[in-house]
Amino acid sequence: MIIHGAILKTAGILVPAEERPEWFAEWHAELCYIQRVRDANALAFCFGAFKDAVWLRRQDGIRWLESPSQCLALLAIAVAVSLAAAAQSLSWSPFRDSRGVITGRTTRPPAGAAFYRQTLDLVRTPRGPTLFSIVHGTRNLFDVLGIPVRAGKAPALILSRSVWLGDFSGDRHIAGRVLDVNGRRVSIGAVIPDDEWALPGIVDAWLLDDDFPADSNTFVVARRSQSPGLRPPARRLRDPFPAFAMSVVLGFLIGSKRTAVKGARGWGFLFAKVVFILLAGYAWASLGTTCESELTIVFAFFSAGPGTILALLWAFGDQRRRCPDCLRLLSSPVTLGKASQTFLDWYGTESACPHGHGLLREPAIANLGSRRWVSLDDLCVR
Amino acid sequence: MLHSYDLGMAGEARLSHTAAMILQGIGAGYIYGFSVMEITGLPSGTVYPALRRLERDDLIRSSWEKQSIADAEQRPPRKYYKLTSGGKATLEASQKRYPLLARMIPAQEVEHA
Repeated sequence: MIIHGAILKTAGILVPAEERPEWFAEWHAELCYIQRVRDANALAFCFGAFKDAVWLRRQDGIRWLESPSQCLALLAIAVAVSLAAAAQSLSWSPFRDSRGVITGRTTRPPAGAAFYRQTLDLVRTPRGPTLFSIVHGTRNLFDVLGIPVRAGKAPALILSRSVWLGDFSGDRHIAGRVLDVNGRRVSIGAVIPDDEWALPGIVDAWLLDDDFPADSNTFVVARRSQSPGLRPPARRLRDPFPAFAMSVVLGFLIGSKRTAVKGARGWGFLFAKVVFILLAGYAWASLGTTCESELTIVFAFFSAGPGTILALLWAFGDQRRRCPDCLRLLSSPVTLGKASQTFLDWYGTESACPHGHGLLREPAIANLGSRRWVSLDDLCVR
Repeated sequence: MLHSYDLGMAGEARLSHTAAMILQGIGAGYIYGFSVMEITGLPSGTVYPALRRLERDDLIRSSWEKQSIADAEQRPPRKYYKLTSGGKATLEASQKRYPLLARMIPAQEVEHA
């Protein structure tokens, strides 16, 4: 019973807020009937609530895009997210010498490379045994990364500033102090600021050792100048602009067909949608120039090509489904007429503007004519 | 009348087979959602969205049963559905389009709501 109620509650999150109490009452009542009166699969019954909730949300969702301002607001949010993602991926590397340092895993490390591995280790601090996230690395790790610190005699433990303040009370005489790290006694060599470590991962301390064993789980850090034979992987998607430009042209050629725009407001709305789509599409396509992940490159290719075409087709289709006067989505489609054997009688769909500006008559087949907007002010009263 | 077109041809609701079965079930007296599921064999994820669509198209109308009926069975009141006049007309048209529909879902004694 509890799990069935939990499933209905979870599905209810998808239901629009104003409909949720009645929706939940209906499903809960049916569930109680099933459990008390009928011997039926209540679990399968409850899972159907998700489809019902999604259907209700979609009906509500259509009203979200009804007004042009809501449509542009959603597109603006999508553009903001896209530009933020692109800006982060295109920003400079946080490494001190971003053009000279490369990292990765390799079975043939170049000469002068440093190695490191991050683990959780038990350290006995003045506050008691504490788990620290420690980077174990070779003695030259900080030299390769360009972090100026003298570690002292190996094995040396370098603490982060936040750990020094939090677990060691900012002891100014901490250098040379011996700690137990996973049963191994090491001396503290230095304290460095938290943001000196620019590689991925949150690190509490670094343990540098001359005898650090490199294996398949070890990361390699090297300076490109010391390893002339080492090259970063070639980018698969160099410049997305040619593919993106071709997609834009195709999208305009296909989508603008039979799209009639009326007035400055209509043109402005269409122009804003297209600009937002182009910005978002190019931003996502740019990810392929900076990321080496296969999935990201596939996604960037899709954004530069088919994604842009589909988005432009949606923009033009959305324009066709709106009232040319108030730009609200048309509603209440009604089927008119019937297909005739001679294909001469008109039949199709008639949609109405929710504010009563007019009717859009769309023929079912092309040879019956083109789409026609009938303003209610122009209709004759019979 | 602002504009004229063939009213006889206009607005004839076209139902899918699933929606026709559900409409037939309600017309046959299976007025609760779970009853429709049982008699049509359709899952809840199909029946309930279809009921919403039929109600949106004014083919059925929903109501809550009397509290006394629910109290007698020690459970919360259930929502039930009835055909509107438009729903009855659409059902008749569907029965002509799907002749086996009436045989698949026979009428039963109406559940009192």
